[in-house]
Amino acid sequence: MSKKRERLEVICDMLKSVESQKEIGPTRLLYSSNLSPQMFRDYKEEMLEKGFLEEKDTGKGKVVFILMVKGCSFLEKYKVILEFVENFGL
Amino acid sequence: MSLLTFLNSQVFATEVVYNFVIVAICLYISIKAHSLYELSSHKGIKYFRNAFVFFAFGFILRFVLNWLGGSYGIEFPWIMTAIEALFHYTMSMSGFYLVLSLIWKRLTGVVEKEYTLHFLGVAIAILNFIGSTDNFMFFTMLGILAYAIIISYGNYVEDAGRHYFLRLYYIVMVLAFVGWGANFLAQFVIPFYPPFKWYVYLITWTVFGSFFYGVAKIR
Repeated sequence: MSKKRERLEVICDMLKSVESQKEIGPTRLLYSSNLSPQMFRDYKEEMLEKGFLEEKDTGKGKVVFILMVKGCSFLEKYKVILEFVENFGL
Repeated sequence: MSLLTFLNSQVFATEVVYNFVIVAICLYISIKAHSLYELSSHKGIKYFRNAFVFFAFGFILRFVLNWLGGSYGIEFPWIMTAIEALFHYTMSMSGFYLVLSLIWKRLTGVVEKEYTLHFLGVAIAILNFIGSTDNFMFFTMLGILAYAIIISYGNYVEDAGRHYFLRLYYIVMVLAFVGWGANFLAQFVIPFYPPFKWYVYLITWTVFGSFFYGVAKIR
């Protein structure tokens, strides 16, 4: 049985999905995140609130997510954060 | 003793260097942890950061206490008492936050109410004030560090040597425990054997230096 993903790992996976697609719709991001809809909503809200992602209206009544500078910083620093957490038993 | 004499004394210079190094290390760790917390909102990083912010304040207050005690202690005893109480509070808080950074994940289902820690910190400061002693702070710190030794040893065994600092963490905690114990004993030993103070300082530097090494290595 695979280990439950940690919060930081989920955020990293979601941001990577957005990064690889440049822009991604909510449904595709939900599928790629492998989360329940409720959990996806919570994570999405958190990432929008923190400025990792931004919602962009495509003009056709559709919304897509794009990666922001802060989201890129998170991805760049992810390994450092993880190392910090693991080395100090946090 | 006049201020000038005190400033010129070697003891004062040593105190400046000793405290400055520790405060600088604590601020470095706090700033690095804060930058990572801003991105991650990771509770463990937040508690770890808070522990070192309180350590920094604690050592600043410790220095001010020594300085004022040597210069103006007799003229303004109420200022000394207030700073001492604040020192006891900050040092206790640093210990609480350090342990909380290690155990917060195990507190599943328990709402972590940080104000209870502040309440405990204030209670320790008040008890020390009422009893005109440092003992409540010392025993609290020793208890906290004993607990931290157990937790960090558990983390080390669980990790099976994958992360370099976990190997060192529990040794550092043992050293911190010895350091605080020696700090407590210093009041009895120093009158008979003054160099004992330098051993305590050396242990404390080693503890903070190890944390500095651990944090600085992560890039």
